[in-house]
This record gives sequence, C-alpha cells and structure tokens, in this order.
Amino acid sequence: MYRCSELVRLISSDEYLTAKPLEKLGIRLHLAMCRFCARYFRQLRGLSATVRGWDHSVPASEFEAAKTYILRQLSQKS
Amino acid sequence: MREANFSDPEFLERLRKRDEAAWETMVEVYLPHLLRAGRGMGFSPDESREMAQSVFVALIEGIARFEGRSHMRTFLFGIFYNKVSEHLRARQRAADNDPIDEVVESRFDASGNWRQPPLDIEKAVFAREAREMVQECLETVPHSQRAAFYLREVEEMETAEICKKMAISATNLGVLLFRARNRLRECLEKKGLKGS
Repeated sequence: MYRCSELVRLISSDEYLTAKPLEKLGIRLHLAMCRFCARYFRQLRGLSATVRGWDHSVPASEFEAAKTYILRQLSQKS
Repeated sequence: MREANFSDPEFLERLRKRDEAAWETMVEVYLPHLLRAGRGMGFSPDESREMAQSVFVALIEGIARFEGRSHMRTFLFGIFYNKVSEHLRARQRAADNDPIDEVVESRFDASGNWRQPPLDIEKAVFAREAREMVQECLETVPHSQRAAFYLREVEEMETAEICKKMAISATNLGVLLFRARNRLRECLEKKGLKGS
C-alpha cells in the first residue's frame, strides 16, 4: 500500500503514468480510499485542464514586429 | 495541409533562393507557434520574440543544409529547442535542492500520511475568471520547471520527446514536473485562501 506522500510524488511527477499494472492498481485503490489524495489528484488534473484551455495566442503587434525583423534579415542576407 | 508542401523540393528551392513570398508563408505558419511556446515556457515577450527571430535567422542561414528528409516543422523546432536549452542552461542549472521539496515534505507526518491536507481550492482557483491568479502563480515557477510544465500540459508532449528537447533524463523531468505542479498548487492554495 502506498503512503500519501509517495502517492503525491507519483502523481505530480507523472511517474504513475508509466507504473506497472499492479502499481497502477495500488494507486487507484489508494485514491479510492483517501479523500485527501483524491482531492490532490483532482486539483492537478483541474490545473492541467485550466492551463490547456487558455487562449495562448500572442498579440498581433508582437507577431508583426518579429515578422518585419525576419523578412528584413532575409533581404539583408541575400 | 499547407504543412505538407514545406518539404516539397519546389518550395525548398524557393526558400533557398530567398523568395520573399515563400519565407512569408513560413513566418505566417510557424512564427505564432514559436512566440507562443516561448511565452508559455516563461520567457518574457521580448525574450520570446528575440528567440523566435533568431530561430528564423538560423533557418535562413541553414536552409541549404535542409534536404527535406525530415519535416520542416521538426527541423525548425529542433533549432528552437536548442536555443531554449541554451537559455535554460545559461540562466539556471537544475538545483539539487529546491525549497518546494521541503514545503511538500512538511505536509506529511513521519509515516507519510497527510499532516496538512490539501485545502479544497477548486472553486476558487479553477474558475474561468481565475486566470489571472493562476498566471501570477505560474510566474513564480522557475524557468526549467515551467518549460517542462508547458511542454507537458499545453503542448501535450510525451516524456521521451520532452526529454529529448530539453536534453534531460526522465528522472529529471519527473523532478521538474513535481516541483512545477506543487509550487503552483501551493501558491494557488495561498491565494485561494485569501480570496475566499
């Protein structure tokens, strides 16, 4: 049986993703029985979903500035 | 669809000849991704722009060496991640000890049970309007940890790919992710607590 501290490490380092079947079963059992670890796990998953769901686009002005620079370099290097 | 044409001999020839329209297409397609990745990894807008620019300059200079055997995207991002790891190495070596390790450790008793369980912060910090709070906490995450976090969570890359791009071992990646996520969670817990 895993300790809570071990479980937290396995989850937050993503080690649980590559765990062997028996270890995975142990992790699932622990999560089913321990509400704090389950909460911790839920929070990390929530965090992933939140960050993944953001609009990561870059301001147009920044894009234009970089584009101008690159195309200028192109003409200078030719 | 457009991507498939980039390793096309005809298109490559145009790039080699410095055809501006061809290069403009490249910039339109790949520059936003590079800028986004730089910022997502915690580089400032200026740093991200300089890095993306230098990737393109390197590509302009090195296009003659690109034979179209690999994907243009792979080639371009190869240059990008080399620059990222140069930056990361220069800015901060992965420390053996990080204060966050102790913070996490202090939450458990000697037998590894929760002494200080995680607070229920979901409602406070994962709401749509909490972006600012999460963003602020993300700013407290050191560079290499944030880069690992970004590649995993936003780019959704596999372990092997991240390790290759960041030139680190899988164990190291695990440590970086552990620290990034716990630092972020601890920060959010503090902020969520204040906000509720």
